[in-house]
Amino acid sequence: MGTELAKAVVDGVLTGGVYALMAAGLTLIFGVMEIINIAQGVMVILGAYLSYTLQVHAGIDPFVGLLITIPVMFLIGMAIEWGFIRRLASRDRTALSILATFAVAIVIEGVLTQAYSADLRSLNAWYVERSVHVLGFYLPYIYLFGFALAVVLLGALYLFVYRTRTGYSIGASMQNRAGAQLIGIDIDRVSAITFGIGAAATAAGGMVYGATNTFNPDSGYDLISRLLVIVVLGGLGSIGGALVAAVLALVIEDMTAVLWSPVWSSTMFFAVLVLVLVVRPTGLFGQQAVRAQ
Amino acid sequence: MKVATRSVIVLALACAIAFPFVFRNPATTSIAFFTVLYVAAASAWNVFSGYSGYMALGNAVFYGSGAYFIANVTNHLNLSGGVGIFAWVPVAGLFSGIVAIPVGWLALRTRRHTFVVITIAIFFIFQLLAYNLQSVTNGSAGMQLPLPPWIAATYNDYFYFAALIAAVIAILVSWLVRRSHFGLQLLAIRDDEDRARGLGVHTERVKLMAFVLSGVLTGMCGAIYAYYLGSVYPPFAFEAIFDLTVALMAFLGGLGTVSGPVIGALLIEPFQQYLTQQFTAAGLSLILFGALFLIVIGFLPQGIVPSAEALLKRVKEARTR
Amino acid sequence: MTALLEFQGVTKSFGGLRALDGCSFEVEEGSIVGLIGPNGSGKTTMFNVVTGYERADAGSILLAGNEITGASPGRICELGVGRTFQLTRVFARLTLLENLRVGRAGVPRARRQELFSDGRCMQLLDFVGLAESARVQAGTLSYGQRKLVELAMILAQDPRVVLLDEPAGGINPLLITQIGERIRELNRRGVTFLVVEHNMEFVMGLCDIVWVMERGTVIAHGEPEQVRSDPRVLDAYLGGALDEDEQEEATR
Repeated sequence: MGTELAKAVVDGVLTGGVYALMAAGLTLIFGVMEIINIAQGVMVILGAYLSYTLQVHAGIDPFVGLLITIPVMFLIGMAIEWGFIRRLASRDRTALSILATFAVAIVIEGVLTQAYSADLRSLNAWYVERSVHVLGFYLPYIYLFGFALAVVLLGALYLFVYRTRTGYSIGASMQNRAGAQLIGIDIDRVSAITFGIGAAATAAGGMVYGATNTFNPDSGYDLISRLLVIVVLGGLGSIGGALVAAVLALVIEDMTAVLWSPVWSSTMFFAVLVLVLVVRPTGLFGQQAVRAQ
Repeated sequence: MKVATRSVIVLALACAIAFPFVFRNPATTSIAFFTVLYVAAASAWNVFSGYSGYMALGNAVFYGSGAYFIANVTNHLNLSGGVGIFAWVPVAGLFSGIVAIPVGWLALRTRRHTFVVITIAIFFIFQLLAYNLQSVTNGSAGMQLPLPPWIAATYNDYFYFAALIAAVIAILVSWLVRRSHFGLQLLAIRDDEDRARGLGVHTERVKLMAFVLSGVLTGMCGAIYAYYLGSVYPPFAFEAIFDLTVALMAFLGGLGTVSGPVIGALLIEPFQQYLTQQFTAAGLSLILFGALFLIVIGFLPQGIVPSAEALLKRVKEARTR
Repeated sequence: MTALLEFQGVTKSFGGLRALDGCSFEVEEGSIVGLIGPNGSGKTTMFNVVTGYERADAGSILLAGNEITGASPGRICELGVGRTFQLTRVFARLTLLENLRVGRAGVPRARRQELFSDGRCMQLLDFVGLAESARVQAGTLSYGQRKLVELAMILAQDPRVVLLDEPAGGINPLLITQIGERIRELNRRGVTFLVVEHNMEFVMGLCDIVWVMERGTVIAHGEPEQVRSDPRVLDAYLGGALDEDEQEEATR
C-alpha cells in the first residue's frame, strides 16, 4: 500500500506538471484576453497527432519533433486568434468566446477524424517503454522527461513574461486591459502572441499526453474538462494557481485510485473543484472579481 | 397581443399538428420529432441562460436525469409500453427540477466566467456518475425502456406529439416569464446585476428559480428522448454536445427572446439531422456543424429575431419620413 | 426638525488607507444637504457605507433613529433610501418604463401596486421630461438623459431620502439647471436630499446646509455662505496651491 501510495503521489506530481503547462496556456489566455479557449483540449490532441505524424512518417523522435510542432502550433494559435477571436464583439465577449472556441474545437475534431480516423493512437519511444526503478516501483522515463519539459517551459514562460518587453506587455495587459491600451500597448499584437503561446503550450503538452495515453480525436472533451477544472480551481488568470491546482487535483485523483477505487478517481477530480468552490467561489488563488461582467 | 401575431401562432400550431399526417415517411417524421424536441430544449435553455445572461453549459445534466428517471421508474414498476408511459414525463421533469436545486445553488455562487466552467464540470461529474453508479444506472450497459406496441409506420408520430406538447409548454413558460415581473428581474440581472441588487431585487432567489425552471423543462425533453430511443446509455443521456447545440439554436434565433430559440431550432435541427444522415463520415459533419456555428457568430451576433426587428424598425422609420 | 440620517463616528479603511476617520454628521428631514470636499476626502466611501455597498469598520449609521449599519443594499432600499451613482448606470436593453419597474422588488409588498402603476411610472418619466421615450431602450439615450432616468428609477421607489452622487457631473449647464429645479420641486414635496458635488455653484445655489469633508472627517458645516468663506475650507481645497505661490514669491 505504501509503495502504491508513493507511486500515486509521484505520478500525480509528474503528470500534474504537464497538465499545469497546458492549463497555464489556458489561464494566460483568459487573463490577457478575457476569453475561455474551449479548443485548448482538442489543440493538445492536435499537438499529439502532429508529433505522431512526424514520428510515424518521418521517424523523428517526439522530443526532437517539438522543434517543429511548437512553432507550428504557435502559428496555428495566432491564426485562430486573428480569424475567429479578434472579431468578437466586446459586449458578452467571454460568453461569445466560449461558443466560438467550442465551434473551432468541433472543426478541429472533425478535421482530425477525417485525417486520422477514430482509431486510438499513441506515441512510442524508448523512454515510453522503459522505466526507472525508484522508491520501490517502476516509473516510465517519459514521466520524468515530460515533467522536466514542463518545468523548463514554465520557467521559460516566467522569464518571458517578467524579463522581456513583449512579455511585460502581456503581463500589463493581464492586470488592466484598458490601462495597457492607454500606455500604448498594441492589444491586438499582444492578444495574438498570447494565444500563440497558449497554443505552443498545447504542442508540448500534446506530445507528452500522446506518449503517456492512447488518444483519438474524441479525447479532447475529457482533456478540456480537466483543464477547465484546473484553471478554475487555481483561480482564473493565475498561472501559479494553475500549477498548484494541477498538481493538487492530480495527486488527489491518483491517491483516490489507490485508497478507494479507480472507478471513483475521475469523479473525485471534479469533486475537488466543487468542494473548493463551495468554500472559495473564486478558486484557490483567484482574485475577488473586480472586473465588470 | 396583436392579431397578426395571434394568427401566425394559430397557423403554425395547425401546421405542426397536421405535419405527420401529411408527411408520412418515418424518416421525415423522425427529423420532425428531433426538431420539435430541440425547440422545447432550446426554449428551456433560454429561460435561464438567455434571460439572465449566465451561460449554462451543463443542462445536459437535467436531460440525462430525466432520461434515467423514466428508465428507472418504468423498470421498477414493470410498466409495459404504451401511451401511459408519457404520463411519467412531467414527473421526470419535476425530478430534474429537484436535481437542479443543489446544482443551481452551487453553480450560482460563482461569478459569470466561473459559472460556465462549473456547469461544465458538474456535467462531467454526472456523466461519470452515470458510468459508475451501477445500482442506479446500470453503468455502461445502460437501461432498457419498455417497447411500445405501435407499428413502424406511425411509431414516430406518438413521440412527435409528445415532443410537440413539451415544446408548447416550454414556449408558453418562456412567454409567461418574459412578460412577468420575474422575467423583468432576470433581464435586469443580465444588464447590470449589481444595480439590480441595489434596487432590491433578490438576485440569488430569482436566478435559482429560473435555473430550476429550465431544469424541469429540459428534464421532460430528456425523458421523451429516452423513451423514443428505447434505451439509456451514459454518453447519450449525458451528451457533451447537447448544450452547445441548444446554445447555438438560442443564439442564432436571438437570446432572450421567446421566438428566437424556436426559430433557431427549426433552422438548425433539420440541418443537423440531414448532416448525420447524409454524411456517414462523422468528421465531415462535425466540420460543417462547427463552420456553421462560426458563421452564425460572425455574421449574426444578435441573432435572427432581434436583427429582423431592428431591420423592420429601420424600414418603418424610413417610410414615415 | 429631526435628523433623518445620522452618521456617528464612522471609520472605514481599505488596506492601509483610512478613507473615513471618525466621520460624524446629520441630515435633517426635509432639507437639501450638500457634501463637498477635495478628491479623496471620503465622500463616495461615505455614500457606499450608508447604502450598504461597503461595511463600516466602526461607528453607526441611523435612519430616523434606527440603526442601519451593515444592512444590505436591498434592505437599505426597502427602508426608503435611494441612491444614484457617480457613473450613471441604467439597464441598457430595457425600455425606460421597464427600467423604472425593476425597483418594484425593493418596496414593501403593500405599496407595489400603487407605486408602480402605469400611470405613476409615466408621471415620473414626464417629471424628468422623458415621457415620449418611455418605450425606447435606455441604452440609446445620451448620458444626460440616462442621469434623468436614473433619478426617475430612484423616485419610483418613493424614497424618504435620496443620496445623489455628483448629479451635475458630465452634463451641459442647461440640464444641470433642470436637475436643480427637479430636486427643489421634489424637496417641496417632502423628499430629503444629500448631494455630493464638485460643482460649487450648483451646491451653493441648491443646498440649505453644506458639510465639508477632508481626509475622512468633517471639518466644517453650515449655511453655504458661511462655509464658502470658512478659512479651514479654503485651506482644504487650496492648501497646496498657496504653498506653491508662496514659493514663487520667495524665489523672485
